Amino acid sequence: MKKFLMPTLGADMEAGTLVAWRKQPGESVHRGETLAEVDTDKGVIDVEVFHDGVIDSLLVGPGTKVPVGTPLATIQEHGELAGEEVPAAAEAAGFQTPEAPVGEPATTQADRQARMRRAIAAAMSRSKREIPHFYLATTIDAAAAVAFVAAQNDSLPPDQRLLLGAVFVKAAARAVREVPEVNGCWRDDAVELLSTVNIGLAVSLRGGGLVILTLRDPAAQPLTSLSQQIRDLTQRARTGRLKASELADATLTVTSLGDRGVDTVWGVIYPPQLAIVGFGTVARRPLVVANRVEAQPAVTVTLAADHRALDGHRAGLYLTAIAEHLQQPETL
Amino acid sequence: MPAPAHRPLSEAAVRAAVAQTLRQIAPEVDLSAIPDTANLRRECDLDSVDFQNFVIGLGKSLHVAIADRDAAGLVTLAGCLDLLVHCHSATTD
Repeated sequence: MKKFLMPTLGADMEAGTLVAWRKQPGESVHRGETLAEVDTDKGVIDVEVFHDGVIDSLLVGPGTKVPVGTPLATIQEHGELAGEEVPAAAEAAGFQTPEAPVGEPATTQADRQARMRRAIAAAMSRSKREIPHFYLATTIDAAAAVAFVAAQNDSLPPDQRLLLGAVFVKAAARAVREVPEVNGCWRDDAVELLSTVNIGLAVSLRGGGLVILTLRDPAAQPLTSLSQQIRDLTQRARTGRLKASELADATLTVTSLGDRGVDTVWGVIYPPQLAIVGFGTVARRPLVVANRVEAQPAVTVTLAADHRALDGHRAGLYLTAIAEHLQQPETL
Repeated sequence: MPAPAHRPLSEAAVRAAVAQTLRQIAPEVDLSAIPDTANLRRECDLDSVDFQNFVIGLGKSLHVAIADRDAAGLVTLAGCLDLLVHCHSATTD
């Protein structure tokens, strides 16, 4: 028997409220299918199952708020003997209300805004309290990347066009191969480096607040599909509905100010991650090109890193690696 | 690229398509309160991702192929009308 748990969508999430079940006991579910709708500080999220099987029992009723990790349902896998691996806590039949409900579900937009601000406050305060940040910056010639995107987009239909932001994300993910120390988390007084690179992309929401969207293994994705994914996730984050898997498991965060922002962003690390990369707005700047000062598209890239996990030398090499990838955008 | 539209687009059709597309991206925006010459990205707080989604949605809604080099001109309602009504052939190759 598999437990279907209240997911954790980042260090700032403590609990979620079950809004609705999409399936009932006895019905089949398939991996990736939405089983429940859950209200969180990041809005209402569709929570998918990770196994094929049959719903055995639903343990939590709509309107109930439970801490992350709480079993919400049990799923019997195909071919499985009944009763296998049933956790003691999930054996109680029927719906149960947790002994210490964290609070009432919020419903209004203002409530949701307030909850999101509190969640951001908790995560960012924890970050600044616990993580000894240090900061590095470099200004990179962006002419090659800008020209590459324009040339590609000239012959592509609108829904396949590239985003410069996707090029930045992919360069940041690729550069982890050269400096893996930026990708992972700090846990139990030790660095835990991760082999998978999932980039968390910070996206501002209309009317305030932000979410970190998860781009899974962007280093392996073509720029076209990565751009489509960023457009789809961003639009759904702002006006629609996200899935739990689209908000979980990021290993390194990127914040990009887009083309209407300012020169430089100094990020605050999203715990328990080790670093955050910031891309400022691309703008024409005086750069020295072939011994002459030229007006070139340039971008200031920053890194805020956890000094417990890495030092300035390696962090600097990571930014240099991003710069090198951006000089050869056709290899991304 | 999608096949170019051969029928002329009316101003009303373009205005309706702009409004409908913007509603999906910036639902709280009241387009009627925005002058035709105002910068939609500034007025509606659209970032580069939103703007690409706007260009995609507008092209789909009107069944026209909008070239990337023309997309920047769609930043005002007047620019949308200019490109999609008055110089419609400019949007197709």
